[in-house]
Amino acid sequence: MILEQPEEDRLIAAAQRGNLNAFNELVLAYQDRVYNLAYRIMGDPASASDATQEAFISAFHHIEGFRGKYPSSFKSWLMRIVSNACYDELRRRKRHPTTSIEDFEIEEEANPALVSEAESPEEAAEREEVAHALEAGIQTLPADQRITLVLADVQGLSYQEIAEATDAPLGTVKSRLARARGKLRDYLRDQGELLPAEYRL
Amino acid sequence: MVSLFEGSGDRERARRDELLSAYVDDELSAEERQALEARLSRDPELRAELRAIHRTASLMRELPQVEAPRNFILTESMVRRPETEKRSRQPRRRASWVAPLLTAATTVVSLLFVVVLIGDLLLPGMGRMASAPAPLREADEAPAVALEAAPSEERKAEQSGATPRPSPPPPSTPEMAEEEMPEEPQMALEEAEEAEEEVAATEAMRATEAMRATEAPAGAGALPPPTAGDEVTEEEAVSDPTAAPTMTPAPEVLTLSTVAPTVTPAPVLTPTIPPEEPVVSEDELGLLEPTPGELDVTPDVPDEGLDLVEVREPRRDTLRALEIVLGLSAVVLLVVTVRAWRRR
Repeated sequence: MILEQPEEDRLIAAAQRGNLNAFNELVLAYQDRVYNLAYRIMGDPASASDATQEAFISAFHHIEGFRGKYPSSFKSWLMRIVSNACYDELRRRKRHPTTSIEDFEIEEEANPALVSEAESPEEAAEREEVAHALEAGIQTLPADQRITLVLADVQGLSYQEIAEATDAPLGTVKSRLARARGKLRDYLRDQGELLPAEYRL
Repeated sequence: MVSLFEGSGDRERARRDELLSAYVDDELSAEERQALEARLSRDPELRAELRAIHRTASLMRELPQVEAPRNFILTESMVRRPETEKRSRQPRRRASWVAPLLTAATTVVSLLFVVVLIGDLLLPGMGRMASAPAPLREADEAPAVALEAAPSEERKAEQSGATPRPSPPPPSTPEMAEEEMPEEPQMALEEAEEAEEEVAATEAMRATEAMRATEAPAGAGALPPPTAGDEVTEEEAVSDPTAAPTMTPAPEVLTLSTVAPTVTPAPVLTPTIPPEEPVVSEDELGLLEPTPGELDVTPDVPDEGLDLVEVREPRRDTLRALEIVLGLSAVVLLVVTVRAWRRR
């Protein structure tokens, strides 16, 4: 569900006046993207749902300041809020670890969204394997690198947008992303998922 | 050429990864990009690393989009909770300007307090300078008596001079004084005021005093110096000007009774001055006591000085009250300010 820009602007303006119905239309338009980002950062559906919910509530309460402070689009503004929600949750989790790796694995298996259509069963199996390896690798990254990586490669934000979303200088974004990719590369190598045969440039 | 990138130190490796990563995202400047491409063309290992990074990024991008497992539509109740948070936030905002304001207020009040305190310390000195010698000789002498330990010196001096006044107060007087005691503070103030009014009168009284003085010595000489004298003198100071006169000459009480009425103003002043310390200055600083006369009167100053002294006293009381109020305000403000900042 994608909104036309004028319609989005209208809904944002209404939401800024406290119109919850208008805001919920925005929620419906963005919830998949928001959830996807949260899921890639958090690594499990339950945490992703919590973060998504938190992010939308926070967005509703801060939407008044949207245009003023953020010249960027509503999407990147929202991504910023989601990133912050995830970052807070990750820090909290670091202090009070509750999710065991087993829980994580089970949730992964149970997620049907990982299987995309229009693929041969072999391809699908291989893709799933790689995806699992990737997701596991992402979870090894520190929070700031993880969020930067997901914003760049999953959300497709530019360095500049990432810098705005994470309140970090451009150079920091660059180095975080490089370190994240380097670690992920090493991780995939160790897992045998980065075979020379698959290299393509 | 190769050396830069050939995986030696962590730093070089990190720098290499950063270049490759930014190259993959097409976030390098034109110069950086050209330089890197030149190296890539000569360095197969670097090309391999670039492939690895590119592959990693591609895999990330190819991760399937995960759909929201449910709708995240917000309900009024979900939103309401945060609304209360908003409200709770407002007081914080208020505190944001309240705290600086309180800080300013605390500073101002504290400064005022210091200024008034300094003024209080300096003023008395000025007053002295301004004030001419005290008119009442007897008063001076009386103070000597008033002082508990000190009286002896003065007496000696006086005795040598021929006036035995410092000598102890009569037993009867102390009692009366005691009765009057409770009213001391008020009385003292009243006395001071009255004293001012009476300034003119005092001069006239001097004469009587002088007479008294002459009379007193005789009485004093007759009476041995009383230890109780201190109390008596104090009481005298406290007592009304009219009552005082009787008491004033304490040591000579017996004889004085007749003389006293004329002397009235003297008693007030006298008690303050310790016989040992002829200088008034000390009194000013150290003595906060209610009786006005005590502070001002200097033994050195013979007859006059009553007027000045008494005038000062009311001022002092006002000053003191101001100091207390300012001091307390400063403390309270400080506490409130600290809390305000903490809340922030």
